[in-house]
Amino acid sequence: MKTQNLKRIFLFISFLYLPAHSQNFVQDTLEISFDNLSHAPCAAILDTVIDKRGTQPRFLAWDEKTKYLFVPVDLLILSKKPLAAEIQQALNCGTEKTAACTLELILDEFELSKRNNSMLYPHYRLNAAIQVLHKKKDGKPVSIGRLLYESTIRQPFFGDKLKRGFETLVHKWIVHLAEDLDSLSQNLQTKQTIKSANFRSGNYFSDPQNMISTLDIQRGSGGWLWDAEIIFSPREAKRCFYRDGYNIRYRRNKTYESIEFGLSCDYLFYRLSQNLLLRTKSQLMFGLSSWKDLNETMHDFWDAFIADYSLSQSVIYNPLDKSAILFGLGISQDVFYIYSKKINFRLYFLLNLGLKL
Amino acid sequence: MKEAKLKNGVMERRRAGIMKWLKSNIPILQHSSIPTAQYCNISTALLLILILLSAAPSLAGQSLGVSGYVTDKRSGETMIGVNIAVLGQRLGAASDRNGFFRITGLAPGKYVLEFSYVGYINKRVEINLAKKSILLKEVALQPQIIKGKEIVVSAKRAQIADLTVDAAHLQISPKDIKSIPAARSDVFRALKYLPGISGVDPFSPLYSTRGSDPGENLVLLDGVTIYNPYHFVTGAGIFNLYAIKNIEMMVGGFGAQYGGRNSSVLYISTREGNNKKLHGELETSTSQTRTIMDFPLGKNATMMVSGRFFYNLAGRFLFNMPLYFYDTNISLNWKLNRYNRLSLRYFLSHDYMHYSFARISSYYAHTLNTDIFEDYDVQYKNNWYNQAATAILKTIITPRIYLQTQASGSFFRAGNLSLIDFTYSDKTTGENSKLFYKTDIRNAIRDISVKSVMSIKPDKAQLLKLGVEYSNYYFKNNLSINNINQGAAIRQPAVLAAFSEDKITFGPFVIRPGLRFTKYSYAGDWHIEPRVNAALRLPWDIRLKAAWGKYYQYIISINSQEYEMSQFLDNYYPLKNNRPSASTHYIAGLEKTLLKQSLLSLNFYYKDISRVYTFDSNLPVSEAIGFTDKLRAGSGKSFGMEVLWKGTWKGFSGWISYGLSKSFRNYPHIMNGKTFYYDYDRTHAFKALISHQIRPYLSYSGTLQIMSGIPKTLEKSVRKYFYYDPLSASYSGFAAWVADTKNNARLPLSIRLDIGIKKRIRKGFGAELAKFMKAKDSYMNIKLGNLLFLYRNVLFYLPMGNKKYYGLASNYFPEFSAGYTIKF
Repeated sequence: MKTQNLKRIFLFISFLYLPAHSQNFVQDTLEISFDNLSHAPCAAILDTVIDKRGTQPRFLAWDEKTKYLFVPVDLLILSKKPLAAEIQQALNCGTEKTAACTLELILDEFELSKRNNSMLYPHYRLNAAIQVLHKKKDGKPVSIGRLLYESTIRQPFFGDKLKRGFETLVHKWIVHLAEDLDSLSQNLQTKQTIKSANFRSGNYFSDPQNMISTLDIQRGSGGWLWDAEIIFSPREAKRCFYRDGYNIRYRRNKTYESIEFGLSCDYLFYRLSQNLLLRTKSQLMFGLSSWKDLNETMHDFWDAFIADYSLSQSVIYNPLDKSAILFGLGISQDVFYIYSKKINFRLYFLLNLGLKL
Repeated sequence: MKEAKLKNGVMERRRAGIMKWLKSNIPILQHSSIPTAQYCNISTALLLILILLSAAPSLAGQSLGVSGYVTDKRSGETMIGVNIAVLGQRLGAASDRNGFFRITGLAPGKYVLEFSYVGYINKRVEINLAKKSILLKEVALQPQIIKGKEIVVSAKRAQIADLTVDAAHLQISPKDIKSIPAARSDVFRALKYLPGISGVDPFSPLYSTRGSDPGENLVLLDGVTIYNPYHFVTGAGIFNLYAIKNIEMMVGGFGAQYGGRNSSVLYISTREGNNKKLHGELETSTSQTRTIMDFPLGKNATMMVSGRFFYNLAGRFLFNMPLYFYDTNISLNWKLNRYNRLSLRYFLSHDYMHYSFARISSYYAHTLNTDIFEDYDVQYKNNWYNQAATAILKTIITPRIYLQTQASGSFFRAGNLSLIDFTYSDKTTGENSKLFYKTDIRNAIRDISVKSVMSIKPDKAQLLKLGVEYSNYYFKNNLSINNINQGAAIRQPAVLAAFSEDKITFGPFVIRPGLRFTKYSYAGDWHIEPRVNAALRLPWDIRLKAAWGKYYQYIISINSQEYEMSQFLDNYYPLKNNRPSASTHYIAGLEKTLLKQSLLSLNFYYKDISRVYTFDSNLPVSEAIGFTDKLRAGSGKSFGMEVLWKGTWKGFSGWISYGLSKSFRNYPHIMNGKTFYYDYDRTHAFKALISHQIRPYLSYSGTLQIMSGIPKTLEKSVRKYFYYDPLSASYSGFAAWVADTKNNARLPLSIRLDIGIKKRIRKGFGAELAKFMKAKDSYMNIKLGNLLFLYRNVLFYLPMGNKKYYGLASNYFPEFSAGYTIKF
């Protein structure tokens, strides 16, 4: 072997293991600032904010980015000060003289995430769950319920503005929280029913995340479509919300069958009632086809591939904040491309069966 | 006097009765050509040797001892290789493969034992020896957990071999294997990164150790011999890494306990199971899914179930060509009482592949607009099964005597079908002709064995091992050509073996002489295999080691790589009218501990291969497959040196090795007995594995392998054959490339660089699933293989005419694979 080749190999290895260089492959840290938030007014006294997340106090989120095309590197997202302190400072709560009542907050969950699996709505998302305690005159805190939040903002089309995105999201959320606390304190004082979309009264507290696995069975002019899907969904905090999922499709008709994998699978949910959800699903898929007539017909190599976009609308029985067996009905529209058959459009009836855990 | 005579008569009758029973029940003794008295003499001689070896130091006086099992507190699994020291005394021991230890030579009194193992908190146990030796309850060691850091246990792993005396001993942990990117979590791929071991070719799982044939390697799974422990698909081994507790390789000079193979012993132990709680792991990727679950079964039992399923979805779906394998391990362990433990183990693997060229060509024939493949088909159908089951009873007879009794069965079955079906038109006559050739080769192997090993610690200076082993075999080869069965060949040999070895310590000097007596039912004589291992501890933490031993192999495997593009299967041949293949090992080496957790070893070896067999290539296929006795005997030798530096340092772990070796063969029927280079001879081999654990959740690893190419026979000229065809009244002919010298050329250097990344995942499906399941960890494993793909690792040369050759390589493209693991 030539000496030059050996030198090249050793240089390559040394490059990978240069201590200074290898640090780049370990972890990056991003600090989110709460400093420049425009303080929202809140009439209540905020006695304490307790962080019960079980993570380090400054932790906000983990993200991941790719360096040198394939090397995955962690991105640790932190606040500058402990999160509880940042929240307390950001909320411009009243002083004792003007205050309507004294509240204590327990931060059960706080999660920032970048959702870029979605093709239609790549977004940054904030999910939070805060237990609200009312401190009575004797100083004993009494739990009055929980505030649940889900805020999203669209990711910019070009470039990743993660820091700016998360800061905007946090700002939006703090304003929302201040408004809710203000409204809560006023309602407590006037002993009126608390009317906030984010508020859940009592001690009810569902799991932070649901796994929804569903099967969409579709029958139409193009034969059968079977879609198996999994969605990991934070608990519902809004009436209208987006989710992204993971799915696989099996297509079957007279001459071929296909297995397709979801490149992007977006859901837009709208809660119609306590038990019913309207679901609009958009999915882009790519897969392989197996031809049943191989012995009779010669197929082109490119016939082995299939590309597909479909939309569906369905009404599903899905009770709020409960584990359940799900079922629903709807219609779906499917456009697909196969080399020898070109572009095709098909309509299907849809039956949805699922399980929410 | 009368009474004595009567007693003698009764004894004689009993002895005769026992012999009659033995002869009727053990087939090997039925056809023995040796008179009973003769093997009685051999037994007596063995007994005398053992008494002589064990008696001298025991005469020094009766002493007390302490013994017991050592376990992991977290899982309850027994721990191998734990150091136990008697504080204030120059006495100690290490736990053996059963996690059992014994210390003798203690006078009555109070002592403190210190148990230590890398990555675990040292534990001290006080004992009070009064009049009798004592058996401790299980000693459980607590793993050392430092927040944010993971303890890397690599330098001092468990051992089956005795590290104080075994010379050519290599260990590789499941953790090491996971960090070798090119191994893809496979034992056999990983082994090829150890010094002295090389793969026969990049596509085959077979390996050659120190210049020997692949069939000379003994592979034991929990003590059960596994035949063809490879998957046809992917060239991987059949052992699921998740189920493995310990892997050890003895590349030569192994003790009298192991026999039946001439070159090496690979000993794989499976996990016993967690006796504290349910533990599991699941790994899935686009090509395979693996899982393990281990859990307690009541108070005194544990169970482990693991499985792996490999699939080729695209091939199955697109072309209806199934290609898959699965394997599964089940382990059940009971603590019957303080003195007895029973283990039941079961292993199953199955490979299936059906390849059809016609199904693939139906796609691209249309794309290329051709009909030349219309009536052309080539098919391969491979269907392999491997099963093993064993029951192991471990008994503490006294704190000094340990008995292990094992009954096992190993079963292998393979069906290999190949077919060529081709219709073509003769333009001169206008007639269609059909070429149809189909072969169906079916092999079956059955090995039923019982063995018992007793180890005795008579005093502090000795460890005596006595064992007996009986195996009954069934080999069947069946060939069909064009659906006509050529008949089955069956051989049913049996082997009875007994061994004894005694490890004796004289201060810094340790010697372990051993004898193995073997009787093979198809051979007339008992064969004696003497073996000696010795070690001398020198100042500066240097240990000199040496080994010498004779080895016989009765069930050989024929190297068929010259007839196949890539050999995937060991072709086992139980010898009948041929003497066993034989070799003698001479090994000398030294070891030195460098830094805190690293070991440098240097070994020199010489292997005298006095008898080895190969096919006679002039034999018809049916005769060759039908256990022919017309094998060609030859001889050979191999010698070399190996340097290995293995250890851990500040988050880095791995090894660097270099091997220099030469291996030769000669057969009277090849080149008139002239010596030639052995087919798998690799003069230089540099191998390195470096794994860098940067954080507990992030590690990088890289492997580099630079090796000399293997010898190949390059055809030098063309020989043309002509014949007269009376039907067409014309002459026809064909050409054959020929060479006058075997292995007259050597392939160029082969180089391979791979990188792996193991990282906890933070987003995506895997992370969300782990979060939902509240799993402990979820990881992704990225492997980037063959990074130096621009350098061509030539596999063989295709003659192109005009003395030109094209070097066909195995590595034209870089490789990428990704997997996901979830631990709970």
